[in-house]
Amino acid sequence: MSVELTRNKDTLRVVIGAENHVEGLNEGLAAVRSESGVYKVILDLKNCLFLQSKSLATILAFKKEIQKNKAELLLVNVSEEVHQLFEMTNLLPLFTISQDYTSFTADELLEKFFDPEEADRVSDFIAENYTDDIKARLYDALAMDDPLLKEYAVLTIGKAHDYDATAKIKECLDSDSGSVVRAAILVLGWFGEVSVRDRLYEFLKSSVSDVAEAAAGSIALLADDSDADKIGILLKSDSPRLRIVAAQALSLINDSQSYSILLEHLKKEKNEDVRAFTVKSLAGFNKPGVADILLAGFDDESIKVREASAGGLVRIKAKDKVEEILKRITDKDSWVGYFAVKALGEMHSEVSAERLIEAYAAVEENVRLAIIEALGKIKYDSSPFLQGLVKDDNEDVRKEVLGALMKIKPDAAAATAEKLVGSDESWLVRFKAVEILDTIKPEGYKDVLRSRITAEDNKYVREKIQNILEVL
Amino acid sequence: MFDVQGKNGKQVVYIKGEVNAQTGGELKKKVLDMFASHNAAVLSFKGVVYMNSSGLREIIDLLKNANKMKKELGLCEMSSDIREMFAFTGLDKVFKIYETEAQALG
Repeated sequence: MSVELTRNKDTLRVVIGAENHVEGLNEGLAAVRSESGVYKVILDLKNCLFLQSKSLATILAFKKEIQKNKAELLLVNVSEEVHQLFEMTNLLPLFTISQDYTSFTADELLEKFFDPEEADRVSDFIAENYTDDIKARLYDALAMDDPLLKEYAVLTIGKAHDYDATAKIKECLDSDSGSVVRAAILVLGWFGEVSVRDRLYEFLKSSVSDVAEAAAGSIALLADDSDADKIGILLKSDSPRLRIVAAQALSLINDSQSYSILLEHLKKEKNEDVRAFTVKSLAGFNKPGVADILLAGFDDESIKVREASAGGLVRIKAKDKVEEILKRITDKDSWVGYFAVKALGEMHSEVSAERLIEAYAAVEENVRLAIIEALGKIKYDSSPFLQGLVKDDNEDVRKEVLGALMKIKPDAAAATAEKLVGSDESWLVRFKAVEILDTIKPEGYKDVLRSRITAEDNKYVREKIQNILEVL
Repeated sequence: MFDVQGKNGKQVVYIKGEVNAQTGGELKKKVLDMFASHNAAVLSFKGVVYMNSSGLREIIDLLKNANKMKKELGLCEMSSDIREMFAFTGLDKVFKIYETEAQALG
């Protein structure tokens, strides 16, 4: 069969067969000409691994015919080879190309689970278009030995909310394959299958990649009042990875007991990664003392914990703590100041803009850069201050100033960029200036760049200008 | 708790504050009622600071019902912390999650 035609309301799907492409395309074209009321034609090339030039000509004829009727042409399931052919012949811009699994049989779809680039997309498609036929094939796949097929069958059944398969999914918990077990654990969590919750605890000790994480996630989803204590035991594990998993699960359970357990654990935890994660997890609790815990995190010896504390303050929008955060800007440890400024910038607190400007001269370089970045995020006209820094000795400062100006006052950024593109001694600053001119596109910016191109001695800046002016 | 705006033929539900058993249940009811007269909803998480597993369970149940009713449900504008909760439970593979509201509105 060289072509298969299917009409659905005003859409005509033309599936070209594996052989005699030209014949198939001509038959499809004849159908387009004869059918009335067609406003969308889907040309499905799933069987065409390659195409001859004659076929390309017929596809162009398709395009013309369809345009005549003011209809839309969509090419679907185009193989890599055919895509390259369109590219080489400069035809690519003429067509809309997408992936569409509608014409695939159940077996063809399941076969795609073995293609890592398509497996997730196919799984989503099947879940959205779940039929008795595909359901039967997926159940068959659950009985097979192939772990990849089984894993995707489990996940797809889960995405389709097929609760009829619950018993079969439970059986997958006994699989030898970690990926199948992980998929089954996740799906049983999605299904709210509380009958397996106690069993899931045994998987928390698994050394197989992601199985313990999946178990903790599903236990948290299925949790009742007793689970915080049980998960909390995992915080005593020797493995930092498992302690992080426990903190994540407790944060998701999010009851008072989980909060107390995490709070106690924070006092004892020695590993900075786990401590940072515990701080981050505590920020997920809507409790009165959390902001103070996060502020105290600025005094932690670990930069990771300080960063997590700043992130937490941003998350809970601790606007009533702005004054206390401001006091930390000039901390003798410049990294405390750095993360305090970062938090203020993310909180977009207008109150802090003037205080940040006041503090600028008294702080170290890393905090200064953070202040400039933060001013770019706060709705306050700090452009006079920022423009005063364009002659700073530090090239990072000048570059950061351009970025901040761009966010709060694009006109001022464009004017500053025009000056710096021709005068700044640092190519990094000139590069940034070119980027800004290209983004804002002020009047005459191409003339500015054109006048710069011959004098520019840095190849990256020159190439950037050439790209913008399309003179490569 | 929720503002709703019709955009591009979809109902955008702006969730605020905390998603827990109570607010999640209210959200589910509101969106399912909405599906009586609309085919697609987008939940914007831009204003969500806190979420727990009970709230997440309500959103899973909402999706299950939306699929049964053949309605479209998208999620968008999540902070990295909220997104991590979906990833931790594998639910980032179950829901259609978009970075921005514009992407969710297609």
